[in-house]
Amino acid sequence: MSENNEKDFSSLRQLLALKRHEVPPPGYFEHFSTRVIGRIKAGEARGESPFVARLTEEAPWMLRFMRFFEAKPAMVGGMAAALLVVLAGGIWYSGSDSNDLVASDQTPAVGMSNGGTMATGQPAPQLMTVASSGDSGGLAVTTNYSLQPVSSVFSSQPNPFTQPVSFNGGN
Amino acid sequence: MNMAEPAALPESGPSAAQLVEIDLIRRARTGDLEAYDDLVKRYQERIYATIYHMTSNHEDASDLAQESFIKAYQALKSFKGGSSFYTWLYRIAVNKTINFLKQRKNRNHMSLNDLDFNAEHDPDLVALVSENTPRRAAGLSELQEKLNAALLKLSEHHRLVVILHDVQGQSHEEIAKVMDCNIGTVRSRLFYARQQLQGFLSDYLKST
Repeated sequence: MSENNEKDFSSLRQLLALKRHEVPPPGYFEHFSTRVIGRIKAGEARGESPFVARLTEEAPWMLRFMRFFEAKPAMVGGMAAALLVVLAGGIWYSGSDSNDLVASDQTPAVGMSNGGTMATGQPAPQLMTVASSGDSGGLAVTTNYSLQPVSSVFSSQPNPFTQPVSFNGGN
Repeated sequence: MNMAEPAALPESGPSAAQLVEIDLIRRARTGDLEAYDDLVKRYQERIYATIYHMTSNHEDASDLAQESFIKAYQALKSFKGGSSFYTWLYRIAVNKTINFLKQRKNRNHMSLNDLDFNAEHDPDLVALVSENTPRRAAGLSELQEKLNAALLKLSEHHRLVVILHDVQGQSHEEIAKVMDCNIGTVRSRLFYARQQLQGFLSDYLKST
């Protein structure tokens, strides 16, 4: 049975002999063991530094970025100078920006009249009365609009853009 | 270089070569990389050849062979000596290759090695190409491509049996040890794989 099988497949086995003639490029095995040992050493070196090993797994881009600067002092200096310029520019810009803010703070946007009337800088609904209703036991909100201008808190002249808001508490 | 050279397993006591190997393993286990370098040199061709024939891709075989040796070094302390170092190493390489092929699934890309000078003068191959093949114009390169494509159609386990037996010349017993199965399974897999291959390559095989 076994011999018959061998005879049946003799032609196939002849063809399979072709596989034995497939060889890697010349000299391939001369450096094979060196590559293996090199990779083992590299792995051991990585093993000595858990931080680098973790970085390699979790943030390989960071490691590539750091390795980009290895043995490149000019690149490191240039990068540091660029960072300093950005930092100084940021400080200068933030200083000038805060001055602008102080100046803009002097323009009132919202005012409150002495009688509890709130004045806004927008042409908004003019009068809102909030009163509690004894019948319902809840809050009743009525909106009474008045187009009468009121005087600003900060000036004695009436401000045409501010409208009075009245808080007439029911209780 | 003959990639088909089967590994010689001892029947009696350890030979001088085996004693040297045992010493190399002992030293490598203590971290002696020079000793491990010697071990790699002993088996690199056979391990590479097996993986190459399984993948039909030189680059993949190169990576997998290196990774197999690296993994073997890392696992060397777990090597108890129950089987020969060669069988143990083979198992690592074969498992790694099968896992790789399963992950790759059907995305097979062949990157075949060149045929050596002796192929043109191999009497079996010359006869197969020039006289008995129905397609007489088929050259060795075409045969090589068709053969590799046919092998890639087999399942990983069937391909492995054919390669270890018919290409690398290992015995059924050795293959059973490497594949961790019984000899009957090896025989049946070999028969089935050959039948499959014969069907795939019928145009290139002489009728008997």
